[in-house]
Parts: sequence; structure tokens; C-alpha cells
Amino acid sequence: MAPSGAPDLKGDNLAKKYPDAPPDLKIIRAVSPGTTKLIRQMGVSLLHASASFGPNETVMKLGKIIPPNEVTDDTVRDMLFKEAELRRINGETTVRYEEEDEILAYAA
Amino acid sequence: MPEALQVPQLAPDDIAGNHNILTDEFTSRYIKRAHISLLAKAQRYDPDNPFCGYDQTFWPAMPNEHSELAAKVILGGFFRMLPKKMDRLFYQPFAERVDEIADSLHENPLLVVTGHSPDLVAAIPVHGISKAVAKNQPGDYLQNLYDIIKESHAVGTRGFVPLRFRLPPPIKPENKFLVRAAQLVFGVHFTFPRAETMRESGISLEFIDEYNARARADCLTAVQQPSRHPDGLKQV
Repeated sequence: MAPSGAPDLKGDNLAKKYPDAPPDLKIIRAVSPGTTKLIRQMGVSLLHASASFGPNETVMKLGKIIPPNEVTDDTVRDMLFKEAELRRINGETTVRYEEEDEILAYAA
Repeated sequence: MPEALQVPQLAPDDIAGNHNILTDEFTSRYIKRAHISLLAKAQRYDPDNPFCGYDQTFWPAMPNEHSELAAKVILGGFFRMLPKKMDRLFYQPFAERVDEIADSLHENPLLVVTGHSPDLVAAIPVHGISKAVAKNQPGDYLQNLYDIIKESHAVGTRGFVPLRFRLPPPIKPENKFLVRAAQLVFGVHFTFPRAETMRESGISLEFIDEYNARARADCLTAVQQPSRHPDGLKQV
């Protein structure tokens, strides 16, 4: 599943939510506490499959399988921080996760 | 009042109207953008079509010998990749770790966390894991694939209300529908996404919220059911 349930925030939608942000940013939306709670209720193992469709290369990287008893409230958001990082490394330089400090500053 | 809420909304009990906003504003555009017009069409509201009903949030998957081809065509077309490259990028990583994945599936259901850019990213691991697990098991590959699909996949309505996948013409009428599928992936929390475009479409937000709540409850129930897989593998 894509935890935010919606594509990257960009373009007009980015400008509406973060008017001061550079217009070329692409923001992976924050995972909501409700989604985190639901995932924990489901009692499932988690596997992060991060993908980047960069300007030069497409990559997919798998994380380790995390059993349900090791899943915390931060597990999914940590995965999304890593997702943004992988995409940046792969040439998608304007990708951020919505809870990164830079984006939180635009929201302030 | 936020700007998006100024758009007049349909009544939540106007099932046909809300359904047709989904098909006309979202599904049809999605099909076009995903380059799958030859394979899929959006189903406008038809009270006699059980897939237009909203009492259920998903139906059992019905895999057949065309399922893998359909997935390849859809994903390959969407990501503009040849099968060999797709296998290298999207199947091989799962095949390399299939023993670990299968061991994990004996213990617990597995939720694969992905991004959402572009669309259909979440379909890649569902496809890759199903194929890797089926190939790794003894016996007939197709039967193994059916078994893991039946255990793991469901046909959800999501924002993409009944898509019907079909082979490109020419084809015999009796073979027309390949998969009575809506989507390859089902968003657990926000089955109907609450994106800006959705809020601005005039669809009833109450309709969306009620449906999402039901889908969440159904997912929780489904994931906690005992496995029906012959080898006891749990859901992906």
C-alpha cells in the first residue's frame, strides 16, 4: 500500500498547501496517525519496497521484513523518509517527505 | 470554510451520481493516463451490475491463465518497459529473497509499503511477490499462482470503480473479460483517496467517508481470517 493514499503533492496543489515552497518540489505526503494505527491493528509484517523512476534510471530497493511485534508508530514514517532519500539519490532531487524539517518550516 | 468545500456536493445516498463522478472524473482519466484503454473500461452505474453495488467493498479475485499476461501488459504499458527489463527490476528483487518472504508469510500476513509516484507503484510488489512465491513452490506454476492470488488479492472498488480488463480486439465475445478487476491494489485506509481533486469533484464526502470506514473494517476482518492457501501462506 501507499500509506498516504494519494500521489505526490506538486504543482498547483503544492502551491495551495505550501505557497512559500519552491514550485518544483514533489512532496511524499505524510502518513496519517489513523493509517499508522490501522496498520498496527492489522497485525501484519511490513516490507518496504521503495522505487524511484529517476531521470536516468529506475530502481527498486527492498528493506528488511519487520514482524508485527517490532512495528512501532514510527516504522512507516521512517520508511517514507527513506523513500524520499532513495528518490533524491536516484536523481529525483526535488523529492521530499512531508515531515522533513524543510517542509515543516514552510508550514510554519 | 476551505475553498474545496465550496463545491456543491451530491447527497451521500445518491449512489448513481457519486458512482458516475468516480467513473467519469477519475476512472476514465486514469485509464487514459495508464495507456490501458484497449484493456479496460470504466463501468458507469448500472443497478443490475453487482459490481456497481456498494454493500460490498471487495470481491474475491478470480485468476485465470491470462492474469499474468494482463498484469504484464498493464504494468509494462504504464511504466513503458519491456518484459525483460520489468523482470529484472520488479521481479528479481523478490525472487532473490523469496525464501525469506515465504517464511514470513507462514507466520503473518505481509503488508508491502510503497510510494505513490507514479500511480501503480504498489502493484509492482504485489505482482512480483505473487510470481516469485508461485515459482518457488513445488508443483504446477499456474496453480501455485492462482493459490497465492486467491489468498492475497481482492477486487476492490476503490476510486477506480469496476474497471473491466479485456483483451484487445479481435477476440471472441465469450473470452472478452479477462479479469473482473477494479484495481491491482487496494488502499487500506483511504480506499477512496481524499485528494484535492476528489474534494473538488462534487462527490459526497460523507459517501466517501462511509465507504472508507466500511472498507477499513472489511480489511481488518479479512486480514485476520485463517489462511485458505493450501500451504498455509498468509496474505500479501
